[in-house]
Amino acid sequence: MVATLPDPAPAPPTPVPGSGRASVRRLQRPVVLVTTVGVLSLLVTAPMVMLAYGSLRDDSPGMPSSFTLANYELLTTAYFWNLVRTSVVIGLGATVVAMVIGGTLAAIIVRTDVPWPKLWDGMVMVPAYVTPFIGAVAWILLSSPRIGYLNTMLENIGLPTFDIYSTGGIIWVLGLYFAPFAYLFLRPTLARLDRSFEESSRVNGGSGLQTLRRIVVPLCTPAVLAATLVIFVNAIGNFGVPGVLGRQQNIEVLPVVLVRLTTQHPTNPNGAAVFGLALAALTVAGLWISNRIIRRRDFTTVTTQGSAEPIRLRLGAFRPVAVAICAGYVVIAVVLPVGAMVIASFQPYLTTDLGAAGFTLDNYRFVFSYPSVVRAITNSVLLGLGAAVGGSLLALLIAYIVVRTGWRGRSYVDYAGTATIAIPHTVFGLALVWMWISIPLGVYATPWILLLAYLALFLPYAVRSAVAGLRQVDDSFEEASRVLGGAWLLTLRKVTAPMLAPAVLSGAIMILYQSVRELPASMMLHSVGSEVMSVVMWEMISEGMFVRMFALAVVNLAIVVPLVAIASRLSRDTVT
Amino acid sequence: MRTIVEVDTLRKEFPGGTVAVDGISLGLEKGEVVTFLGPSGCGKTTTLRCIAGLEVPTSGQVVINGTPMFRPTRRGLRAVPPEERGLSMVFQQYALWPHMNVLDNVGYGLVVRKRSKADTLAAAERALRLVRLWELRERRISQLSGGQQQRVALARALAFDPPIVLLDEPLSNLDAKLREELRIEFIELQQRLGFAAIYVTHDQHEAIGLSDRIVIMNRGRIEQVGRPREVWGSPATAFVAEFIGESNKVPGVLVDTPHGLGLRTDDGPVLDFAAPRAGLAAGQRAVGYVPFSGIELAEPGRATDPGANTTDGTVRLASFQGHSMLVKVAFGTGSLAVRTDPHRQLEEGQAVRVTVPPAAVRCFPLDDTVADTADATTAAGPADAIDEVPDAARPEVAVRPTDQAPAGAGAS
Repeated sequence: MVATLPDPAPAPPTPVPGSGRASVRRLQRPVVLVTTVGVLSLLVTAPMVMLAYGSLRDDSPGMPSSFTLANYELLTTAYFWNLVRTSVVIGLGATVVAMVIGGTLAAIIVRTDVPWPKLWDGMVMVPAYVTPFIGAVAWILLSSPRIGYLNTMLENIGLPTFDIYSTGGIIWVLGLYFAPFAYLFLRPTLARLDRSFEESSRVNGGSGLQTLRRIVVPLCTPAVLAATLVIFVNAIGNFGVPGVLGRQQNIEVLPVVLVRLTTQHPTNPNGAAVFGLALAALTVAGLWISNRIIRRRDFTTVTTQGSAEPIRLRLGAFRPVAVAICAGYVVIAVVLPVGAMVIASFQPYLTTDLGAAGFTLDNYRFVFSYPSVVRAITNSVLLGLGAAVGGSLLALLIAYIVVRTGWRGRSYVDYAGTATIAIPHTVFGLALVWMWISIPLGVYATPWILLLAYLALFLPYAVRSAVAGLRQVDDSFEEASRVLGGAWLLTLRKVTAPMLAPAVLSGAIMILYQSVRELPASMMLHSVGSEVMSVVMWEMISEGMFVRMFALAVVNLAIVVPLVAIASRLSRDTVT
Repeated sequence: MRTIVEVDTLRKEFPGGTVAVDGISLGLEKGEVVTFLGPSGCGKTTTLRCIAGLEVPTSGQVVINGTPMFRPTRRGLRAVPPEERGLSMVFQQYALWPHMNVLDNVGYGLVVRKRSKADTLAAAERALRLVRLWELRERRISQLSGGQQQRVALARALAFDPPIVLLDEPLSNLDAKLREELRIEFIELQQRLGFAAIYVTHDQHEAIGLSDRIVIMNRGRIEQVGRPREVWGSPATAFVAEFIGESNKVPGVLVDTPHGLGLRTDDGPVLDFAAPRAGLAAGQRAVGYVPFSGIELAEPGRATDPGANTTDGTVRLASFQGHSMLVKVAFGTGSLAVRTDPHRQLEEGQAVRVTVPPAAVRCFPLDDTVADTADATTAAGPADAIDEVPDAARPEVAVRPTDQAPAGAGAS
């Protein structure tokens, strides 16, 4: 029934803003969404497909070739299986070391009354800003068998020395430099863990330790798994540390072989593709296992939105122990290596005998005057910023599609936007080589290919952050904008994006520092004119220019730390 | 008067088969305030969201200013997006943007319409002055109280002078006193500015207090459309009789009496009622609704209107409630709740004569709708006040003593 009779003569429609272009504006959403899918496919999916294609060809990319399965015979060699074993041992070992260190630090800093938690919180992240192989080189200064500072000291007091040129040494350095990732993943979960879970356990008679074991640990499982996976992928795919420390004793891992097969004559990009796929299979297996564990149990409502301070354990007499642990990590991972690095950067040649050589500024003069080094510094900064900006925009759109639309293509976007988290950098770098040599659009051997690599490799961090952020923004904020007259794109710009700014910005920070420190993919993709800092440092080591490399490493740190500090400040300020 | 929003057989089925809106049709005229009133889940908000363009119905049409909002395609209806409908809306949770200050929130509708800075500021100022918040224009949203946020939301919705404003339970998050104040403020604003409004609420006092017409909805359908006095005075269905106001619910069987049709209540007595509606016949089960305030109490034995249902009873409970007194009167096996003058001297155990004018009684055939909603609706009414007292069961009743009347004189 119609309650009132409609007026026979329809009134002229109320003027709606820009109604003449209404049909164009209605295309905004589909166009933007389809473009996002296209960009994502080009960025992530296509290179991996090209890698698989490459493993099935009998000649290098760009060459006329035909189909073959012969490359896969590499998988039957004992050499390959030795590589796999060493890689897995190093990957798992480093993951365990990093998780133990990072987890302990997170628990102490977030959940106890340790003094100066803010200081430790800032310092613990510093190792994440440098590429791990610089740490490896710094540790050579500390712990090379005969001349290392640390070993000399240990020898003097009659303790056994530690040889850094070993599998254990590689695991130690990797673990030390990936510990900040464990810290980064566990900190928010530990901090936001709903205190009522713990309180109810305590009230029900569970002791502190029991509460920890039965309540806190299980509730942290998703974060632990996510951190474990990310660290495992990064550790097993790491090229620099085993490259520096494994050479003496001929310890070889898959990424090192991958880079060699791609960049050193005689190259074998087809064999490399097979090794790359094998390495990716290992990490995807890790992803699969962690997903299964998460799916087996219900982990919802782990955290609360409330800003209630977490319960902090009173340490009492153990406070000095906690301080010692935090300070110990900071000394071992930050102060000693950075100190050794700074000292060495002022030396004319590398020596641990401080008095003998004197000091000089020549290394810095070299860094700031040698054209390819200067170019590398500029490139690194520009590429890092470019990847951070592009990656966060893309992450915003991906988050919108995943959280806000009921699209059928949604799960593809979700998957492609986070898949590279499980792909080792060397493998993805190789995939890009295959793709952009095969498609001669002038991307290969330019800085653009590095930008594509950084965008694709670090996008998942920004997507994770943006998706979590958008889930907390109620639909009605966007609906209000639409009803009041804001078209889709305008709403995205004026309402969704600013409300997501803190989440997107913190994702951008991760893209920024990870891009600047990235080595494995950069090794495969750089060329004359598109040098980046990490690659130049690597080449300086290969050529024995240690002191100059340390000068560049100091410059690197001096650029990244302030950038991250500014970005973090911005991210905090935008939180309302 | 002309119709500016017309809803035609709107139907919304959610995935999973829930039918939220089941064939709603109605019209909104220029400058008119219509409320959608009903219990939660009755489809009122979904209907509003279909009008706003935030939800696409399964079938049906919404015509705004003569322009149809939905176009059928092979894959369901295609909607004109919300921003092209020229409407405005106030949200239940306000949805004020925390990254903008008060002024920017209020000016938004003008900014997106590409009005000049000066125009935008002038319009935002006017809107903020209307809600008396101009002084707080620089504040962040998080620095405002709930009532202030609600007024900013209203100012934002009105600033660009929309002809139609949709309001989705805008006052439901405020406490009772504030709700009352803002209700009056809304009426004044609406009368001053003359916009048409659709106002969704589950609060009947709100609906009665501010609408030109009330649309009472239940299970996705319209039960009744009418002016507040009409719905209050002559409920069209048992659901409305139960939902609006406060009534004693009296089940029974229809019987023929010398005066026409009467209701033999389950407690025995027969209740006469005026103007029996079509579709009622003797022998049928039915339910009568007797409003608390439609019942008269007098000294026992006093002469009464000869046409009225009358019986003598005892006061079981008299509860002073400020503006009125709520009394429970028992007689025979039944009892009735009565709302009366607070100044009367009534005490427990006192004998009274109860008179129910047949015109006050509404009788409806007993169907499952009534049975289902009975608990939900009456429980929300002032009858609660009585239920809290021990020994006071839900007032159920009966009145006019007949041949087997237990007590009293049967004046008919």
